[in-house]
Amino acid sequence: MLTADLVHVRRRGDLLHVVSLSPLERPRAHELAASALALVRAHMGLPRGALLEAWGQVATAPSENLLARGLFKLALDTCEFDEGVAIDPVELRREIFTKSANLRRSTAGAFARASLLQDIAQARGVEVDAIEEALYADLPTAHILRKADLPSPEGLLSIHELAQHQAVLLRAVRLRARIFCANAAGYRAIFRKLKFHRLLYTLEKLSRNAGYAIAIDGPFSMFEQTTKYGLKLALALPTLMACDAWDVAADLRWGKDRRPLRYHLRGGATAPAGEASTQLPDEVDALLADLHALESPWQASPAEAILDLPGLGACVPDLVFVHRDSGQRVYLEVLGFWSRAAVWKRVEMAAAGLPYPIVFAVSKHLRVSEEVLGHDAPAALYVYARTMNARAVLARVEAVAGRHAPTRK
Amino acid sequence: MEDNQAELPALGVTLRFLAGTLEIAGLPAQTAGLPAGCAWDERSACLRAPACRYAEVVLALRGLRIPYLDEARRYDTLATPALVHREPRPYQTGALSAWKSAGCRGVVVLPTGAGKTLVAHLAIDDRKRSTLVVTPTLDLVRQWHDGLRATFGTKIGLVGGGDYDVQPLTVTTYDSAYLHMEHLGCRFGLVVFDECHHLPGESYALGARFCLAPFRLGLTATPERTDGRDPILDDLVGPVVYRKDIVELAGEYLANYETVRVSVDLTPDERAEYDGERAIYRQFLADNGISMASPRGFSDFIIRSSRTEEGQRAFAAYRRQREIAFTAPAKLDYVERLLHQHRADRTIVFTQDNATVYLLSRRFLIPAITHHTRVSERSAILQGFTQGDFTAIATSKVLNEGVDIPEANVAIVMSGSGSVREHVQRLGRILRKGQAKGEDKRAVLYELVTGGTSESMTSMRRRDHVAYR
Repeated sequence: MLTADLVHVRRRGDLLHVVSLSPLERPRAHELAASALALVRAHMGLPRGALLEAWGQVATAPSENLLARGLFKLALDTCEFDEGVAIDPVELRREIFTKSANLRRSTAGAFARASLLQDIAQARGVEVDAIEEALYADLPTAHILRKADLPSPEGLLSIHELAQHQAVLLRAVRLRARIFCANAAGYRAIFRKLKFHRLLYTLEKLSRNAGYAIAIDGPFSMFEQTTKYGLKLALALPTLMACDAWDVAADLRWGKDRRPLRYHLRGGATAPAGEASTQLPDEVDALLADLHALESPWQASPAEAILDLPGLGACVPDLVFVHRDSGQRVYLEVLGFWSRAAVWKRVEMAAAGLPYPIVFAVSKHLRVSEEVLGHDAPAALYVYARTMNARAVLARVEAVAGRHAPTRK
Repeated sequence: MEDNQAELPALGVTLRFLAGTLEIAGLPAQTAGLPAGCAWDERSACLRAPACRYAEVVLALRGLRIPYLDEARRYDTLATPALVHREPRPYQTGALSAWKSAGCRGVVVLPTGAGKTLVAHLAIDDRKRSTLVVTPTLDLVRQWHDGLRATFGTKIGLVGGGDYDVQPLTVTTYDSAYLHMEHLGCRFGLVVFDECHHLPGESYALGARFCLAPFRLGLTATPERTDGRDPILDDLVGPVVYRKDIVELAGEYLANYETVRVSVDLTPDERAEYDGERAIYRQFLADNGISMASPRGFSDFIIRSSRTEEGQRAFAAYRRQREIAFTAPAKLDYVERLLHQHRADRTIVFTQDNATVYLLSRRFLIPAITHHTRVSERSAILQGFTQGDFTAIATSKVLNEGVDIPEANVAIVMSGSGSVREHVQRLGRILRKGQAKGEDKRAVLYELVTGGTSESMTSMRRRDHVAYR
């Protein structure tokens, strides 16, 4: 990811824009990307310091500096380095510095550096140069480049473009987005991502089935405009960008003086493929397979619905159980071992009355008892040890269904 | 209040810690009598406060006679008291009393080497609550870790530098506290902020706000900050409750010392190169109306110099003239002479940058400690220094603060910033006395300055303290 100082931005009033490459600039940008990648390839097996020094020699005009440094940083992010000497530098230093202290203490004359190193080299059966080289071979600049997962120049430019927008969001205190997904999988990916990052949001359904408006920030944001959540917002951006239609507006604190600025971005499905994965989590996938193997009046499938629960925002159930005869629906949301607070929130909402029949599956590591929800509650808890049991889930689905009049959605 | 209770849901009022905040679930939005900072959060339909308001919220609920379930507090009473009791000096006892009188919240200001750590150990033993110690560097983490283990004889947790092990007594860095406090903030009843003048920085302050610890102790030798944010300490830790300056303790509790300022000259060739490079750099500042004395001066210079080839040349000139002044060959020769002269002493050589540290280490074959040095090697170096296996160490800024090396008695400041705090802290490194009573320790600090360069002015700025008069 880029840091905020590597982004090419322009300010108009209180609005910040990322400056995209113009068609005229693109060939030169392509050239710089190719140079960065070629340089990395050429330094395979060589020290990081040599690579950095070589990059310093690449002639760039002052107007290209930001782009060049950004491209090089992203190319460097793909690299793997390790220490490349046979002699253990820490052990070598201990030996040299101990002998050096003894020598200095015991002689009244000049400190004989060269002869000390010669003696040590001789005892180890190596040249003095090898000793000098190994002395600080574990410093980052001495690390050896071993591997790099390099994209194409065009790929690096695409990564750079996304990274610029993400770097701006590192300085975001709040983000508002309008999103539209053609199916629930896209929404699920977004809300899962927000959950995962412990971001909070308010949700509003847009009219005429145009999707949702969400305002995203963190728990502390209501007390202080903080960029603490900027990294999480930046990491959530590709997921938002994978929606079929989206726009994003962020409140920023920009620069050293933390000037309040605004930032807008819009588009449709521009994130790299795979960001809005339609796949279920592994444990839910395994449960679904187990459920299909059982004979039951309940047909389980991945849920498409988004349930709007006041005080909770969007609840995106993982599975929906449809009764083969009555058509009644019961939802399952798997909370796993994510957050005890999230479970209590749901318990409170269930105690206050829920419009949907839901089973919440919770890992026993969260130390919550199934008994906290009474037998007349509109929802049930299923506490499981290691993996979810299909029969146990179905038993809770039956129980919750019995407390709700059949609903068809 | 009866109205409030009438509106309570069946589950009652519950306090929960969530990501550095305190959720107060089960109370209506308009509940009167709660402390400032509590606000209704539409996103989760509950009242919310910064975690640092925990003690006030609990007292308010008790005052309002509202029963509550406390799921926020996840800290314990310490199972074992201190096993080792070192007799505190009178000013250490005074500091503890003042802190307790202030409700166990506040800052103790004592000079470097006066034994602030013991004050913290006394406070932990007095409160007997799970405690988090927050320090600025990994060296200090190591030192606090060893000290707490020796005093309390229990496993001490570490968070930072690749470790994540949380125990009732845990040590971390300010950086790690900022990263992890949203998860750890409920696990400690007492938090000790070592070198707490770091705390008012925007990010670090957030770490303190994310923590619900009712008891807070700040330790520092120099609470004042050049950015004027030190009053924020009042809110984050508490007011200054006790203060003693270096001159009040020198002699009896700290080593007697002298400071020697040594001016070295550049050779004619070096002088010519220095003057030439400096002229290029100064001309660019003048042409662009940049004042390096202003708070934004340096960042303006970086931004403006990156835009043109002339600017890039000016930036290179700036770096070169600094390099000539900081590492003048005459300075290196003088360091050689001092290392020889003090070969039976324990010497710390301080520099402004890491490159010079490694230059010194390679040239004089002495251990180096920088932020690149791994914790295990730092420990081995400091232990070797204490035992006399090594007689000199080269370091940049990581040993400026707090590291406890009573054996060190010579400091050579080869280069540094204009910061008074840094210069006083470096002096403090050699003033600490050992435990032996009546020990007569004398320390000396050499400051090497390249004459006729900008370093002369920097030196004058950093010596503006009572300790250098």
